Amino acid sequence: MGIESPDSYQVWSAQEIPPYMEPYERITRFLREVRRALNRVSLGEAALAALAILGVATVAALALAAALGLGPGRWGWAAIGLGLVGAGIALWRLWLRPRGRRAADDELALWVEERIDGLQSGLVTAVQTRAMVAAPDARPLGFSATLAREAAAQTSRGIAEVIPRTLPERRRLKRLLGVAAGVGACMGLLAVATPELYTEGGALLVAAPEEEALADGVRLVPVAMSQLNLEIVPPEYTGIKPRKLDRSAGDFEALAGSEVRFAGTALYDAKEAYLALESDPEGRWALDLSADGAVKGAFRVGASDRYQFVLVDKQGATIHEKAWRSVDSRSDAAPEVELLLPESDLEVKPDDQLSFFFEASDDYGLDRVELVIEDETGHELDRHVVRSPRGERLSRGDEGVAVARLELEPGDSAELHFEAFDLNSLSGPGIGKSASRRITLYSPEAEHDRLLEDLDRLIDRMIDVLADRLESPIEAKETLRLANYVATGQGINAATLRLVADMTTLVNGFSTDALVSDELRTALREVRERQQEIADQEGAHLRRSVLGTANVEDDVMVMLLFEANNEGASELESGVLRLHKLLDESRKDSVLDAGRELLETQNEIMDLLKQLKDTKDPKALEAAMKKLKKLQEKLAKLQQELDKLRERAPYENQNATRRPSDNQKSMADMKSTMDKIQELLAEGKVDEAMKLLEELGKNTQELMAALQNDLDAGGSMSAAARQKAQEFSTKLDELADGQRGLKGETGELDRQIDERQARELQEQAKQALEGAKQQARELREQLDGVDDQPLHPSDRDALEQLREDAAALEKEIARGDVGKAAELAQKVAKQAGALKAEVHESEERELDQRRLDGLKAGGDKLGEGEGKAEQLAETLEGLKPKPGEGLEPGEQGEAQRLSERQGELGKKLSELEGALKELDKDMPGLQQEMGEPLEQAGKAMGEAKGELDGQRPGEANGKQQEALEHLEKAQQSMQQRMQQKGGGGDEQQTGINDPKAKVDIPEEDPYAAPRTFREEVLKAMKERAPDKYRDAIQRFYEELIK
Amino acid sequence: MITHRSIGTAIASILIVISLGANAHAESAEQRAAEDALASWDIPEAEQIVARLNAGAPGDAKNLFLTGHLHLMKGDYQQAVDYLGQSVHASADPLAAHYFALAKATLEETSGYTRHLTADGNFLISYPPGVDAVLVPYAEDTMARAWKALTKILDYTPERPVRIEIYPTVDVLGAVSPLTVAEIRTSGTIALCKYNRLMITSPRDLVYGYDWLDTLAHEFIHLLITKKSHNNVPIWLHEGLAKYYEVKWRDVPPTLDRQSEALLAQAITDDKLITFEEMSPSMAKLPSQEATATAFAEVYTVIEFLNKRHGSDVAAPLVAAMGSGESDREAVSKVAGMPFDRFGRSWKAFLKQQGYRPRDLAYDQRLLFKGKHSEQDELAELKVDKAKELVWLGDQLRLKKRWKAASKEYRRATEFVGELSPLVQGKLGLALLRTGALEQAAAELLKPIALYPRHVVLQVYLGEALVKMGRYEEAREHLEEALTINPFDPDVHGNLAIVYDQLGEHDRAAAERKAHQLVNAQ
Repeated sequence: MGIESPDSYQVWSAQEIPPYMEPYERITRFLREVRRALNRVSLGEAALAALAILGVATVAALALAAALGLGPGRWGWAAIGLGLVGAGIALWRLWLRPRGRRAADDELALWVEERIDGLQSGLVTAVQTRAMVAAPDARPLGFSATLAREAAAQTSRGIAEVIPRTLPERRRLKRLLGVAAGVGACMGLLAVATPELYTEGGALLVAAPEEEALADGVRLVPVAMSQLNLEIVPPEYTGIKPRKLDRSAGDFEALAGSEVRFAGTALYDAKEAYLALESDPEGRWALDLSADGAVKGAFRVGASDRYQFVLVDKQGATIHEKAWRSVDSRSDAAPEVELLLPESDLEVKPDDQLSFFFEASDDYGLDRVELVIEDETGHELDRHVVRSPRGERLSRGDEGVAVARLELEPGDSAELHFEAFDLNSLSGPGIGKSASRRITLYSPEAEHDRLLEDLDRLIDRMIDVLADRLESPIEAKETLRLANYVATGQGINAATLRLVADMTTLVNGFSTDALVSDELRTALREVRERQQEIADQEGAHLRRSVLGTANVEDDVMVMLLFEANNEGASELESGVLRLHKLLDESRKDSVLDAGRELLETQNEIMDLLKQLKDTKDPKALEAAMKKLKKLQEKLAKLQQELDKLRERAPYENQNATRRPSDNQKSMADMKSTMDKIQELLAEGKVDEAMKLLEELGKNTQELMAALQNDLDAGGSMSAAARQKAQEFSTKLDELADGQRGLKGETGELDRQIDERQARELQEQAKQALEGAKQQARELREQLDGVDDQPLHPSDRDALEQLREDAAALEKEIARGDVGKAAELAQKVAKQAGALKAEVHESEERELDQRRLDGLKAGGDKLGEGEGKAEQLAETLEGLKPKPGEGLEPGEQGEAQRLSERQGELGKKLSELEGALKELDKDMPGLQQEMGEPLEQAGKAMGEAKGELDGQRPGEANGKQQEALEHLEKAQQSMQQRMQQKGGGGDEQQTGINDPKAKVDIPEEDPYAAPRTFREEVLKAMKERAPDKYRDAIQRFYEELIK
Repeated sequence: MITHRSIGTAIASILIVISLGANAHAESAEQRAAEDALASWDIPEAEQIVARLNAGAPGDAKNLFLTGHLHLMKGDYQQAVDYLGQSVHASADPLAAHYFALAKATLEETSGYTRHLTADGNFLISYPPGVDAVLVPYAEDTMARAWKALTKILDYTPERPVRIEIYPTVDVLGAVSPLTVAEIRTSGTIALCKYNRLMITSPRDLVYGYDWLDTLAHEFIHLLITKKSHNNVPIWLHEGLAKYYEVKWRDVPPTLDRQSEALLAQAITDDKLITFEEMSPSMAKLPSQEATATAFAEVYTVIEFLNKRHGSDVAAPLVAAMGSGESDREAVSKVAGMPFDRFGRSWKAFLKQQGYRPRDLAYDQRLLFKGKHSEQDELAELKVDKAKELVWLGDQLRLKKRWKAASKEYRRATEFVGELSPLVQGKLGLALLRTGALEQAAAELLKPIALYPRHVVLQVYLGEALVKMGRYEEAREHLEEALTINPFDPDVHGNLAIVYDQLGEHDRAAAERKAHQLVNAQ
């Protein structure tokens, strides 16, 4: 049904409206107002949507422009264009199209009737009948005009109360308002946060493209070169054939280093042609351009880039291509190398031979594979080629390494890895590196430390079990709770058995540990056995209780379990204490060992620095630096040992802030001194470094003295026992010193007597000696006359020795030393006899007649020589003075005096043996250890006295030497025991004794160190020590004495 | 542990004398007067003379030295360094060099310190920023009470404010005084009155702290004596007076602790009393903490004896006599009313009458310094090896928080050392406390407390046990005692806060909570 537009309505002025038309007029006005309201709302919606779209588009455009930069940035306008399109669509969809729909009154009336109840199509009817009612003559009415008017009047009354502006739905308007506001806010925020987005983006949007900024005389063309043919020649080392790309657009991918040859035709009449790279916009590479426009050139591919051709025409104008052609450079990947075996780090022994397996690969072929060995700091110890595949892409193999070659010290480590090199001769070979394996040279010390750590953990677990036992509920001894006790007991029993298993493991470990003391080994074994017994016994009770096989009442079983638990706790207590004590002692030893190592290393460094100073040898510097590193490690080790030694015991109060101990501070200072020494050496300041090293040495001495003091303070011996041990040691030293002095004096007396007798003999028995001399000469000639050719090689050697002895005999006779000469003559006789027997044996085996004759002759001559030697020995014996017979009264007196002294020393030794028995109570096992050497010393001293009494100082001297050796052995044992017990004697350990320094001993006072101790200190100073520590030593002893 | 006028004064005096002898010809009477004023800590007098000297010859090396010395005594360390530095440049005088080094070290050590003037304006307390601030309120309270009591006893009021410096470690005390760290640790001298100021080490540098508040009062007595006597009191009387009156701020009669009694008894039995001459020039130079403690006990009894003979406090007349130029013998004879030799015999007789008994103490209480003493040293105080072992075992169990097991081991240790060892009883008390056996814990902790009231651990744990039992008044007594020894234990403040709250003293509770926070943050 066609609807007329409102324009076609007859319009009356207010005065002209006939009364019957008034309802229609009101309806028309109502609809008009509704339309206006609707249009306003839809216009608002459209405007807000358009604004939001345009806002987003603007931001997008600015962002795009900023991102793309000058020129391409103008693509941002596309976003704006899209925005405008979007805005247009929004206007159309939200405003224009609905507006058009609302233009017809009947459509609008329908829309209104949907929203207002009770109109009952009156509004539509009124709209449709209005024209007919207004002009009834125009067409016949199909209904009653009155009825229509009445209906319109009713409808007009129905809408009288309706306010047209309330009809439009405004929810979308509000939503869009929110969106637009949001967009606006975002834009505002962006303006604040990144104002450059607007300024720069805007500028880029409107700026002219770069091309347009080119100077006059430049033409931009889409393409300047056609029929472009490329030939890509990969680097020679790859062995890959060249590749051709005919009629290419110019884009290609190639291996870095490839040579690219190209040919094409210039599309413009040009006089010059160039190549330009995007990465170097100013650069131009001239190309061959022939008259017919053919262009040729080449370049080498480096990094990825873009290029284009540039022509210069006859007029001198430059023709640029608009587009770039891309070169995608592919780099030659480094080789890959894998260390296949061993799969993990190794602990090795010095004579081990190791094999390392590798697999290496490379995309264009391997050049070589090398094995690299580095020390812990990364310094290369060795590097050598293990394979040279020369272009193969895969290589596998192994390489042997002798540990000895690495010159590692126990505990030292080295890192090994393979490196594979490719053939890249252009940018240098690519290098692939495998994973590393660490090899550590087995160190008994490290192993010992590990076992001690295990022992520490074991003690900790023992304390856990002890706690369980002490807190066991069984102490309540309630029969009714037997089941509960059994359950708890089983848990504790199982834990005890685990302890026993751990102890067994440790016992096994200690069995191969040469550094552990026998005492600790035994203690651990005994503690384990005791725990095993307890666990067995307790386990038996528990089993019987669980199985119900116990033939005792519950109360008895509770008692049995209680007793077993108590016994277990008691044994654990004593076991923990015993092992802890021994562990502590072992750690103290470790601390002192670490300190000694520290000092030794300092000595070595000092020697190296002296060498460096004298020779400027860089190797000495390198060695010194290496030693310094070792020194730092040793200091760290010392620190570590000290930390382990620190008791885990709580202070009662929470005065919590800890401060480093004096020793810790000293060590920190020492560490910084070491760093400083390293710096100085690196700067070549050797003198200053030496000075600092000396200072370091002094500090180390002081630290060791302090540590020794600390360790002694917590030592296991009582003060009285220490004093006793010290006194014993002093007396033993005195005795050894006495014996040493006596031996010297006896030797001197013997020498004097010998010399005098020789002089006298020479005078008195000149003739006799002349005879002996003659005999000796004959003997020598006799031996010289033996043909050594037929003799067996060993016999030849013996003959040679015999001749030498005969010559020596001759000389001794010439010197007049009858005693020695007689001894030599006897020796020669004996040797000649033995050799003769050997020669006769050879005769029996010899088949060659000529050689047999030679042997027989030789044997005979030796026999004669033997006889002559015996005769000579007899002669000489006859010339020797009888014991005491040749001694002058003074010498006899001296021998007697020495004998008495020897007797006194023997008495002292007896006293010491008595004291040893006493001391053994404090130092169990000492008598067993020292008893024998002291006994032997006593025996030798007694024999020496006997010889002196018999006026035979020469013989006595030999016995005295024997006694002295036994005494020194005893001294050594004592010293070791003192060290173990922390009872002093450390002076020798630290090597810090200066024999020359003088130290004033203060007067005795009640608070000073005991006199014996001070004397001991002085005695210790007689020991030798490096000169450079003299000052430190002096201070050290002065401190000790104070 | 207790302090004294240190050797530094004596050394300085000797050096001054030597210096004077050497430069007598170059010195004016005015310069000598300045030296005398400085030596007797008469700062106002010294200021006047030095001002006059500087007006005449400001560049004179001796005047520069005196000015620098004066600034050192006044606490103007920067000025002291400047003047003494110039003096050293001008004269190369060893005494000036000594003071220059001292002033420089003091300036370096104290330059960042916080200063607090007490509310009464009597003391200026300097302390390193940080946790040592916790000491200040207690120090202020104590010193206010000490000022009141001691200025009356000595009948002397010094110029205000008296400077107190608190050092974080003994190393600092060693750096700013003539004592070495070794001497400090050996003798237990952790505080000094010197250079016109009181110097103490913070209790936090000691494992268990020390009776620092008594020590502060002790040092204050030294200051009063030095000033009143123009520095004419010998060390033995100085220390006797200070030791005797150091607890007067608490408003309790002085008593000799049981350990000192035991030491005295031993010395009397062995006839090894330390002579007054041996106590000079400084108690800090005595060879051990035991010797120092014996000497202090002796001089304490001297004052006790004099007071009893005199019938009232002898401090004021004794010091006044020496201030007026009398010798110590004359002054003592005067107040004792007998010749000095007879006094010596009477005093020894008095000592014997006291009935002090040597005790076979299972524990030697002495100061344990951080960095010097380890846990092993603490354990070494026990005299019985078996007890040591059991305590060690108990400690290991305690570290694993196996309190019941630990308490058993500690209790077994008491079988060997008795129940009066503060170390073992403290550990046993704590273990019982943690197992919840509060009554038992308190009972065990109480056993040695009469003999070792200064063993802070007993006070702390007993306080905690009593707080948990709701016996707040009793807890207060022990916790406040603990504060006078080691205020760096956060639990003490935490428990005191509870106690004060329960007793309705909310302000003090708040202060303790603040202290708790401060100490906890260390």
